[in-house]
Amino acid sequence: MTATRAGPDAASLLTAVRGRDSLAIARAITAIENRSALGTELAVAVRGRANSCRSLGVTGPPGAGKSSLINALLPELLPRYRRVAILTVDPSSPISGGAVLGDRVRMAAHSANPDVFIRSLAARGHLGGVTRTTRSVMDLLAAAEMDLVIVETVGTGQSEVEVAELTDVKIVVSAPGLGDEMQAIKAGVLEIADLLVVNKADLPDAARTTAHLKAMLHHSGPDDRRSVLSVSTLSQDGLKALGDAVEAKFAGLLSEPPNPAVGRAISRSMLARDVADAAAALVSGSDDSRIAAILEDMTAGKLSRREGAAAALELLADLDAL
Amino acid sequence: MPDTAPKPRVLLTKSFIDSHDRAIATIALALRDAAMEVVLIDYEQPEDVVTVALQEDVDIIGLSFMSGGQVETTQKIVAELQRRDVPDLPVVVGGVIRPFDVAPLEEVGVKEIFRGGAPLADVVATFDRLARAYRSRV
Amino acid sequence: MTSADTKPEDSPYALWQQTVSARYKDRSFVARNRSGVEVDPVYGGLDRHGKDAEMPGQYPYTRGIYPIHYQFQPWMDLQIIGFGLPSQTRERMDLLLEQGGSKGYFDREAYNFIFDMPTSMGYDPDHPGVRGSIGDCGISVCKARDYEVLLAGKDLAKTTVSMVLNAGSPAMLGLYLAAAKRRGFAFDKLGGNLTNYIWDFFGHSGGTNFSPRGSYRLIADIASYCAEHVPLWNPLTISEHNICEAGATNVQAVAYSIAAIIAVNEECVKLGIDPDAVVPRFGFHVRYGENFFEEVAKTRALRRVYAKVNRERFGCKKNASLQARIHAQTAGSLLTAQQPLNNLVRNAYGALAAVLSGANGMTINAYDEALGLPTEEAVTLSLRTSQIIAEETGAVHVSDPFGGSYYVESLTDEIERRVFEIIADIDDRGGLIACIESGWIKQQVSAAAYQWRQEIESGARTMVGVNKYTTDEPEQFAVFQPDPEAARLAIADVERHRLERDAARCAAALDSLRRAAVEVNEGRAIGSVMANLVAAAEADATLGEMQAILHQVFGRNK
Repeated sequence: MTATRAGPDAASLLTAVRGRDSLAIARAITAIENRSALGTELAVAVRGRANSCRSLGVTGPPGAGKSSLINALLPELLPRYRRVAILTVDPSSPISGGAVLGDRVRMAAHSANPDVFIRSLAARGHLGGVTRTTRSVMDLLAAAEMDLVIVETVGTGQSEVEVAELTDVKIVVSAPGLGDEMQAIKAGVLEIADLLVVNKADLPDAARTTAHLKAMLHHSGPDDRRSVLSVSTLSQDGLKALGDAVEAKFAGLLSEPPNPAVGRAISRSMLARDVADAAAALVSGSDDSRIAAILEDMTAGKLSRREGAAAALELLADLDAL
Repeated sequence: MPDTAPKPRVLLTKSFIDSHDRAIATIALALRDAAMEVVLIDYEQPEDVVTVALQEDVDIIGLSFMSGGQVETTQKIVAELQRRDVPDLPVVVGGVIRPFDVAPLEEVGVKEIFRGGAPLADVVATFDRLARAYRSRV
Repeated sequence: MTSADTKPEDSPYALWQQTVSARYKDRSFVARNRSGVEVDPVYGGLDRHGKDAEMPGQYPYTRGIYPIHYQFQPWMDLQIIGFGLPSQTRERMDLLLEQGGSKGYFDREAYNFIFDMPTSMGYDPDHPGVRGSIGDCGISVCKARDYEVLLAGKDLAKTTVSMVLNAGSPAMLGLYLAAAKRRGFAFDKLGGNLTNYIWDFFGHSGGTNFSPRGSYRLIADIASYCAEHVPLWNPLTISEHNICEAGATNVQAVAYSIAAIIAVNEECVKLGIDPDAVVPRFGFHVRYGENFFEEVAKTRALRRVYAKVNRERFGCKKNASLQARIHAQTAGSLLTAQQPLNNLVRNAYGALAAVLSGANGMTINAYDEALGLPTEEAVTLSLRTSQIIAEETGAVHVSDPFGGSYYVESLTDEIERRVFEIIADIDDRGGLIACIESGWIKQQVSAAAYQWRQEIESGARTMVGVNKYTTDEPEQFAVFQPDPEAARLAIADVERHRLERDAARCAAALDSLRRAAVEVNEGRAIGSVMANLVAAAEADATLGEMQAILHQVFGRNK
């Protein structure tokens, strides 16, 4: 093991990564997440590698039991995909930028397994449930010859569609008794799901939650691509079926045409982010006199925030002129 | 704007059988508020701590002991750090640490011992200093 | 003294007098102070709204659950005891007894055992993950035979045994009952307490505690078994103390404690158990910490809210179901390693607040606990603190001496109001179990703990010797050093035990335990898990073996 002595040299770090050295993998991830010069070099070197590796997204509202589900599902997945990496994302404090990363406490059973690599990531202000560089981290894990990469999102429920762009198969987890949190699922995450999982199926309300989700699926149009499964991480019921379903989804990726509903949801999310990025660049980076005028009017109280934003957005149409 | 400034990464951990988590939770929040990224786990075997530290690429390990076991567990973790070729990864210890625990803990290279009532600002500053020193040398 | 709208003979004071004379005949509880002034056991008057004030022993028991309290029966001193092997703890027990401690009610002996972390969580000393913690902050116990050593020669029908532990509670009760049975004691003579902190409000405890849902099912099982077979046993103590120690405010801790009672009662109702059959044996473990008057007011509010919830929400009719019994403990988290003798003073004020609140039992921490396991000297000083309050200060002459104080009455009402607010919030969030599962409770508690710590840091809150009046000189204090050999001996002992027992009988008993656990978990039976734990312990199953089965069936808190 020479990662310590490999130092900041990308080539030797990559060699160690390909040799499955866990400290080398970990240091490479840190560099990519920090977007350091080394990280950029590494990201470029492994770009696109994730296409050759299966990936599974796990999202759902807080309290649904995402980490526990992954923990319970691992014994099903490990015989099928020998080396599994898990990325779990937690929010960063908007004030300090620090974070408490507590998901892997629920996966302690697999700590000592050399075929499991778990890494906790902080969102660092990136919205969408993952980190800004999750794609590159997945590329790196593929380069480390992982057979499956699982991405567990922050779990704020809404606007976590980005995981759908990153992963082949998407599990949306819910659980009985989440009340308002269920609304979050309705509000847009539902359509990206390949598999809807009702966790805690041992609870009395589980059947109702399952029926509710099935009705919602039905309501959004006939779709035999998606199914609702119930699982209990306590009684272990349903885990094998879920493992089988995941495997069938991976197999189907090759033969089935992509789901247009998922495609639309992904496009919408990407578009929203690109528009937001363009708008931000327009405002923060521009010395255009028209932007300066809007700012002046806002500062003087002649334009409300809303009016200012509307005026700036109109300029977006004229991007080329800027 | 996404924040990409490198953050010290910290592993805070206690034994799975120790139910006292007030101190470790408080330290975690204080380190978070000092812009560090803190991974929290409970370990079943002392060796697991090192596996997690490597995968998480942390810059420092903090061990909490409220119900005994500090000397034996810390010795095992330090030995495992040496075995896994990261002997310099700093280890600090906090909790109910008795006078006769201090010598064996210092002997295995524990960088700092925090007892109840240690000022939070000192704890945070120590983690920050040790983590940055470690990061800058690798 | 009566308000205008009550007939004198129906006034709370008159009713109280009737109760006292019916119960205690002509016995006088009047004390005389040094100046010769006669002091009544309780004083009445008008409340803040001009009505006749409630008296002690009257619903909703704000002022205490007995009409006459310490004047008739002082609190029970339960000093925490336990370290190393059962034989080592036994030596310490004999020392305490010699010094006048270990006194329970009505001439019973009473012991409050604390177990080492592995035992507390239900692991045997030879579990690979627990080395280093064996016998290191409590006794290591893992088989029925350990109780035969710990309590050799004791008349168990006259000994109150309290067991302070977490997830290992159900199996531990199995070990004790099996030991008692072997020694020929009838279960209906056995008295004691099981803390039964088998769920966890504030942490994951690394998954050693039971899942919240599994916990409540197990509590119902143990409670219904004890109600039928061990009627003098208290099978559940709700630990307001532990919630406070984890960092919650007093209001939060009382609210979460009551929410726990609500969750237990709801589980019982769901299983067809009449709350009146089990609730009378539930009790509270309450912490007495840094704010003297708040501690008193929270105790009064806790008793009142408990009575109201059990009567109004669960229709309890027995008086005993409405009376919160309170075991007090001083605050461990306030003990400082700096200037440790200051802790003696902190403990004394905490204990005095508990006495002026009308607590039923008392544990005063050792002043040197922040340094390590208590020394014998420190344990003795804790006992002396209680004895000085009981026998020198005169604090015991009058029940609820703060009753009628503008300040304390107003604070009691305000705490009650806020507690009911939190309970309503928890109801809105789907109940306590959902709040534990979602992590909400833990977030609330951690935030409160962090805020407290920041107040210490900023100096907004003073801790003498820590952030004010600090001294530099290093202080040398004797610290108890546990026997490093204990771990080796405990492991050798359990290994020998496994070899010597009747393996087939033990395996059959564990099989039967598993079947019973599945049945109870699926709601097809109740009470049979506890019965099978006793049988398995009798067949020499160990704590860890029984716990492994319960964990598999009832789930771990992850």
